[in-house]
Amino acid sequence: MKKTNIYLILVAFTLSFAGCKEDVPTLFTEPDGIYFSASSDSISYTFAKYPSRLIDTLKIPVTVLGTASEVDREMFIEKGAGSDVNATEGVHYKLLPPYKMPAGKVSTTIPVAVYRTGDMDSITATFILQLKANENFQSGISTKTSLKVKLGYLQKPPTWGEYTGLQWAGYSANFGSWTKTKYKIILETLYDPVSDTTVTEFPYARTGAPAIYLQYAQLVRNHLRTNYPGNFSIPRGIGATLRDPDYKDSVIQVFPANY
Amino acid sequence: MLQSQIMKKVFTHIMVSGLMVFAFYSCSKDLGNYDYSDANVITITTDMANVDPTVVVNSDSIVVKQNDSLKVNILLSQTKPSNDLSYEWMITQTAASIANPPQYVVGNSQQLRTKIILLPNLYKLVVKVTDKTTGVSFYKFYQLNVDTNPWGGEGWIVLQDQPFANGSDISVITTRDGAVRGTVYSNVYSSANNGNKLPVGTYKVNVMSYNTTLRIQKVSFFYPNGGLQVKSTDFADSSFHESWFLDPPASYNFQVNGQVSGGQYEYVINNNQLYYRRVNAATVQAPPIKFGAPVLGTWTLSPFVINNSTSEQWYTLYDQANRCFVLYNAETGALYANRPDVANSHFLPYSGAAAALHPTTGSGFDLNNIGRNLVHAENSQPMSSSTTYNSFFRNNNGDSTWLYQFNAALAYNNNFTTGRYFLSNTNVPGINTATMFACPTFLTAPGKFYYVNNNNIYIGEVKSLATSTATIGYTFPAGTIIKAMKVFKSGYVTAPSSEGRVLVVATDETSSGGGHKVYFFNLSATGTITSPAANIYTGFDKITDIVFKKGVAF
Repeated sequence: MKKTNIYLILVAFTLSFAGCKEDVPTLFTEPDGIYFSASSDSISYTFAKYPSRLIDTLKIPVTVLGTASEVDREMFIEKGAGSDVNATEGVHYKLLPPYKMPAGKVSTTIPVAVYRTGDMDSITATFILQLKANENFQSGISTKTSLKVKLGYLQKPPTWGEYTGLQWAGYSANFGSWTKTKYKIILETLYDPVSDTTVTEFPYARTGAPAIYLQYAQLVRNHLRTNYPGNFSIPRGIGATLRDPDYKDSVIQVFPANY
Repeated sequence: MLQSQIMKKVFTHIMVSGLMVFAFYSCSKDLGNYDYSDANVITITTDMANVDPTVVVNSDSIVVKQNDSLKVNILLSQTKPSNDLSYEWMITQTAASIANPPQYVVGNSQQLRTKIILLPNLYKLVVKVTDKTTGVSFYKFYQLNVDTNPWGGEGWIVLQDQPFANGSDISVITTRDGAVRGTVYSNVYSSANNGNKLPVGTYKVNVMSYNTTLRIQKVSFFYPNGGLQVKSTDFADSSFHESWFLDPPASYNFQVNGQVSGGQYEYVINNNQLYYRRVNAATVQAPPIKFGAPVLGTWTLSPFVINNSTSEQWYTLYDQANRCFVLYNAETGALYANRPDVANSHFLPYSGAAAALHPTTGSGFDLNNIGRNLVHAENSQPMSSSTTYNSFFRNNNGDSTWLYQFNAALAYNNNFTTGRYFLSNTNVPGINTATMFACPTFLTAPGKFYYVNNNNIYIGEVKSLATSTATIGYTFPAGTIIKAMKVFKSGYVTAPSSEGRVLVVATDETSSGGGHKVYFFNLSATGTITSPAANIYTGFDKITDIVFKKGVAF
């Protein structure tokens, strides 16, 4: 009886302290993972934004699923396969290994050289980057271990507005129908050598078309008038003339557009 | 011994029971204390006995001038008096769509003592009183109207050349139409800009009044090779021409600027080319708002823009090189009816009766072939959806003058059979050498107009063909040089009764010892100039231009 009481006291005593102890999850360990930390499973790059560039370097974000290391850790990245892959390594792009996750870091960017090629006037060059497990990293988030990269130049931007009724730069009465030749002259006109960029898209905003779009359209019209007077002469073709092989060999006019 | 064993058993049971109770109670949920008591309620009122009644006009409204100090005293009543209170005075916007002003928290004591440096506008002044013992806050809101200095509101801006100061400056006459005598405030520009003067040779001042809901207004000045804008309420520098253009022109020779009062299409003609920009509720949220590239074409524009108030983006322009009109839509970049840009062919071929184009027996005109030089264009009826304009033309030799009268429109059939008047120098004396024109807006068309020749203001009465006549309406002292003449056109949404019925004239009467003056003449119901002048303001330096500035937001 005496022993029983002592045990009861001990149990109750223990319970009184342990009853509210927080439940700490158990720890587990596994090798660090790695994944592409782009916001989606593909990224797009257009040379249209940088009309003076024939080569550029993409910075692809990579993140460790785990902890930082005290030493640089090599990552293994190779080209992947896919049904829509049509880019050729060494022609459209080039991997620049070795790729390393710097010591003390859990994220970095890896450089991939990309080239503007003649066929980008008509195609989007697509390739896939694939992360491979090695002694430093196992594959991380499975859906993020590959990344599709799309390279373009003269592709119709998705925000090219041909919606009727509202005016913005892409509206049919301003720049009109999209063609490669017309787009190229727009890119050329709106190129800013200071920032080394041009204006490639003309999205319609919730509050309306930015007023600057009409001014872009006027700039392109002036550029055409000044450099290709034959586009506006009566009859057409007196002096330098820029015609559009993508549209009946017509002269190009914008703001308002003639096609 | 027995007692000792009994004590041990009792102790053991008590201990076990107690520990078990603790063991379970330690995890029991705290249900809290639900005994509520009313918090201290604070009522805030204005201490009207200890404020400036001209500033704190009532318990909820304050009117203060920009850059003036503001003193507001409040009284508190509390249901559970506490001395542990905190105060915060804030100035906020009046509508959710407007950002809070830069001067935001202006005080942290019970009595507000601050200086208002905000731009003139309507704001809310909020006082927050917090009982720190409960953390509960109580608020009181005031309508805060930050007013301008007297010269920052409605009035006539008088631009003057000041060679002695190596520059130019402005005075402001705080009157609209001469009915009430205003005060003249001098050197207003330099007072607002650290003593700096406007550049030498500043030749034009204008006022841009944007949509009233935006409460935005700018005053511009043009000078050789440039221009600048100032804020309309204090005339402090706002921007210079270098920042106005998306694609800066090769040179600056500003000839005219403007926009329909309350509109959004602001234009400037520089080197005979048109530039424009849109200032509206959307674009002001994404500054800077720049003038675009020039509207290039076959034309070389005269410095006049003819448009109306409801479709202001349709500019009727005059090509002084090819002597024909052009109708351009600034919203689409298109010429009228998408016609090709061919000089003298911007409209369909003239389709009115051929006889109407007869030079002496006809009154019609062909927009494609005016063949004369435009010397002045101005609305002769109130701005509307089809505003009537007077356009005065002269031939190359300067020995013949015509008036063309037509309504600004979005489309012209080019079949005018009326509207052209030959102003014979015999019947309209001095018209061929007239230096200025002004058009009232209250007379029935074709109406009358005023023109300046030497020291006289003539009243021209428009009559068919070549029968128009003119008489002298007012004669200034011999030797007077008339520097500017404008009819009062306010730009107010609701036009005042004196709209278009006051003629304001700036003179240089130094040759007769009269100095430089500004006259306000009332115009009679028939358009005659009422003499003597309703008001004359003196003491100016050499006047180069005048313009009326309406009060913002009206």
